[in-house]
Amino acid sequence: MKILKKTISAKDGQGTVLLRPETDEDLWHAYNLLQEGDLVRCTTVRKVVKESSTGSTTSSKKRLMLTIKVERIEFDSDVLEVRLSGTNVGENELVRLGAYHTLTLEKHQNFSIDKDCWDPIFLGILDEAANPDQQAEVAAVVMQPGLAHVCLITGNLTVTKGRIETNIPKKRTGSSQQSKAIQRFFNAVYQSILRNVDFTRIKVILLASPGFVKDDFWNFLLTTSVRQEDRPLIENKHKFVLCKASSGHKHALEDVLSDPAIMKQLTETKVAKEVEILNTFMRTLNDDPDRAYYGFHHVTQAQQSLAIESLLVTDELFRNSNVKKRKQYVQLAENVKEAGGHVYIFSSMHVSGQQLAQVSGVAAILRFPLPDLDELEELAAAGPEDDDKDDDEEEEYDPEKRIREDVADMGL
Amino acid sequence: MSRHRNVRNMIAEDDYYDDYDDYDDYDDYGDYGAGSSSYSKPKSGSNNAKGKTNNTQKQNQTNKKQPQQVKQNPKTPAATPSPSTAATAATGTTSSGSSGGGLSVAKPPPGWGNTTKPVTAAVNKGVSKPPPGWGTPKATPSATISPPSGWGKPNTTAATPPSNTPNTNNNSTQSSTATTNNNPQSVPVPDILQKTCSAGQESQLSVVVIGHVDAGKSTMMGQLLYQAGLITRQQTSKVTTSNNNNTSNNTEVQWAWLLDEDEGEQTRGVTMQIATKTLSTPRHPQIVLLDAPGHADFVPTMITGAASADAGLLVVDASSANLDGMLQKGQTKEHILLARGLGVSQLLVCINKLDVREWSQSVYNDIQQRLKPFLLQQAGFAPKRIRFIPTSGLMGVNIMNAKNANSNKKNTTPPPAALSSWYKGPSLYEAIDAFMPVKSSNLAEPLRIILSDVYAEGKGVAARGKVVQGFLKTGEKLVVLPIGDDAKVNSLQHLHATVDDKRLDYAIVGETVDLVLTGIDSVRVAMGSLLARPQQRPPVSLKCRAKIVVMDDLAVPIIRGAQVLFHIHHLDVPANISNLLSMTKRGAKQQPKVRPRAIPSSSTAEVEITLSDKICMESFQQCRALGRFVLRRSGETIAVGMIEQVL
Repeated sequence: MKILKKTISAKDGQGTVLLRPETDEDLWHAYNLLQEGDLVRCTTVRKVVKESSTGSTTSSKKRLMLTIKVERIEFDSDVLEVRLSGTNVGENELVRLGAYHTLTLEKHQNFSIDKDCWDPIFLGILDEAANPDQQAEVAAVVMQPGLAHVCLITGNLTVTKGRIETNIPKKRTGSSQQSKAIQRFFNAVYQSILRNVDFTRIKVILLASPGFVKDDFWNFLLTTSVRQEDRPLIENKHKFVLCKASSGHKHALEDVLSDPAIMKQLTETKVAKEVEILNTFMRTLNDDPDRAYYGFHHVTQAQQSLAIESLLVTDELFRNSNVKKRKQYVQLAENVKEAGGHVYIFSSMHVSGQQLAQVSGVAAILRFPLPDLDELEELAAAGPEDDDKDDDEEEEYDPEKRIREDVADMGL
Repeated sequence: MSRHRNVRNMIAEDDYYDDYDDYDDYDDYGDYGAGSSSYSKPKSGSNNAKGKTNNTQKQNQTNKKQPQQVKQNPKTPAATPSPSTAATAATGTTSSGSSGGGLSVAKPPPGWGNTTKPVTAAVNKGVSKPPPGWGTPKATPSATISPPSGWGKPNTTAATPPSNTPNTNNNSTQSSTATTNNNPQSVPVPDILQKTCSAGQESQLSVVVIGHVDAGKSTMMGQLLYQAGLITRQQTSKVTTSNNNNTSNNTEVQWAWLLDEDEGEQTRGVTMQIATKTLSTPRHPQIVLLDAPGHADFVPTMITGAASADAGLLVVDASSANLDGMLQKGQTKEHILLARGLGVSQLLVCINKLDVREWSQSVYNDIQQRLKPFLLQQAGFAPKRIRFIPTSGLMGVNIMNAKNANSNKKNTTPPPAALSSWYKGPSLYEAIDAFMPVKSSNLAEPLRIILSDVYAEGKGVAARGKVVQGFLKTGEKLVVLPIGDDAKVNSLQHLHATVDDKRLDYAIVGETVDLVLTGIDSVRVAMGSLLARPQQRPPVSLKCRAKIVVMDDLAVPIIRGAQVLFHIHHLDVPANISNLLSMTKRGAKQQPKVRPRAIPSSSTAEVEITLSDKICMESFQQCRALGRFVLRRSGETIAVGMIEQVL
């Protein structure tokens, strides 16, 4: 990402940043930077309807520069773009104020974000986006007989490029159905790799499966690439690494990435670090449960005792549309940092981040055991579900209360 | 803090029995033979059930007196229902109806679903045993604590009637249900099936062969098939000569290759897929042998085999020096627990490769001593359901005695003196013959077929599947679930030639059959699809509430949101544990912990599971085969469980 202009007031953090995304990763960063209520300015195409004096209408497509106040943010991981919709706030002779419009953020297209407050987390994302440390891009294929996923893994994204599912009959005496089906399956995976993996950018491609599927496929790939003269595969044979996965489902990627042998090759990639810290958390939860806690309640309690060594949070929580809630998490992260702890922000596009999100999205490894926290269980019994509700309820609660007060006033 | 890693004592493990429950379909031989005598004095638990008991008794008698009448018009069931039959139906309906919607969720018409169930369950369980286990409050203390109102109750009520309904006589059961089937959704059981399946007919027996990798499972099966005369000498010479360029000792027959027919399996010397073979013994004319792979990577494959088996054949390698490690790690332990959790309740343990240890009786006894406590206490097998025999698959010793093999005497190997001096027990063949028969349950249950293999063939789709409930006739229109497409059963083929040729067009519960389906594209049918009658669909859902038994030595405890693979019959579906309802440490005599933070190793728990795709599920009470599952994570089995309710 290129930061073309940055004017942020030191006093209250209000300001504007002009950005140009250059990679898929940058779009993901942009998605994480945006928040409801931000003003985004970007070029876009809009159908403009003109009414002539006689009443007939002509419509034409115009490229214009629009500023919208964001109401909804979407990240499309399939085509890799960010879609923003909201109302027009900038003056424009063709689009009236308050008209709804949807902007699409694409690569190599400048856009500016105007925020009321750029908090430390946002600034952190900006920093990270501006200095891409040339992270290794990795492709991974996880498979089991009849099921395969072809994925691309970058610092913050795991994108499923292909999912192949075929039916493979069982072995039977004197039947070639099975070997035919396996050949068909391998061919589909082969084509998917050829089409989706850009070998000029990929450093490693992992072939992972339980049993011997990967070996059989590797042999298939070698012979087929030579026969069909697929140069990219023949020239990049050395980039393939065969490793073990527990299944062909996407979340088996986590097994692959937590394999120490693979991890060594991928050190310094964000995924590997995330997987490692998540595994540490899980291990601690098993071996020393008083030093590992998850859920907002428990973690904030632990923070109050300054006990947090590592804080694990998914970026999903910071993307929260609820400003108050986001603030809570930003505060938590800041406090942990101040107290000398580490904060790991997991990308919800990675399997590890998805796993963390399932476990309430926030977890902590403590410096020292806090057995008393367990007592809090009743309080936090309902877990994060209630956390979610808390805020909503407050808003909903007020009108009800008012009605009740009104009723009371009327003497009923 | 003892939330994790409790040190368990032996007494504590008694609870494990309860967790696994007596959900076997077998009666003791005593009960089995003496069915008529025991039903005359039923051990009914409660007073109010007495009336019902008498009614059914009368009903049995009426049915016996006029069997002709019933058989003449089974298709007009409601025409002349005897008063007692109506009474049973009524009691059944009211009891389930009053107990709330807990169970009827699974099956929209509550009356039908619940009235037939108790009766069939009675057939399964026999008279003398009240159904223990999941449904009763004793086994699920958590039931009383968990918030969803009243779900504990319907379970109990649904489970109680069967124990009080003395109905061991299959004939009367079937005709009575045929008469009570006045619901338009039910399908009357045809005459021909009633006749052939009446006299306490034993259904097909499926035996899964399990054990650690290289214990000699496939080799032993190869020998067994050869000695039983199912494989000719020519076929064995084929696996020897055609491949001897790969092996240096080209005089040896590769017995395992008779089952490991795949090229990859042969070159690697490892079974990778289930091989399905058939065998006939005097007592069991139809046995399906499922040779499971032993390698750790293929445990999912083994699960599919164990899920469709009634009995297990565990092969233990006696030659390895490290017998201690056998139960610490490796697939011996995992396979035993998986098989038990998936409904295998009787086990034949072959202590194999004993020829390497010079047929030493002490080695044999030693292994037996080590395995027994584990099988009884941890896996929860009943003592009389476990048997041990010494074998050598490679040498073919004690596979079959010469006296059993009528025409193939020359194939058998006489036991060496070292063995015959101390071992007088049965051979493998005889021991398989002595497996308890599975009683065929009620044919009037809704049809369920689980497909284990599918491929396109000509215009139709060829599929192999196991009938887990009900019966099927060629030509029927069925629905393929969870997809929901219709298909017609164009032809039906039994794996065994021994089936009574009058009912060649029918497949009944317990049988594995080859079907040809038409009117459907082959990509719409897959392994793990379910066939049912359109009017009797099982629920298709994403969520269920289940009780799980967590394995020992988990690397990581189960926390809320944990991502797992949900293995059910032939499917594996990514899932997450969406809610932890309650947890009890195995053996700890304490109240279950409600809403635990994590579920550690060696505990039982009640959880909610959310799948990533919709599949057919039924509560364990409704259909056992569809209610049992295994949870795995990162190639490690973390729990076995059963569905209590589909949400």
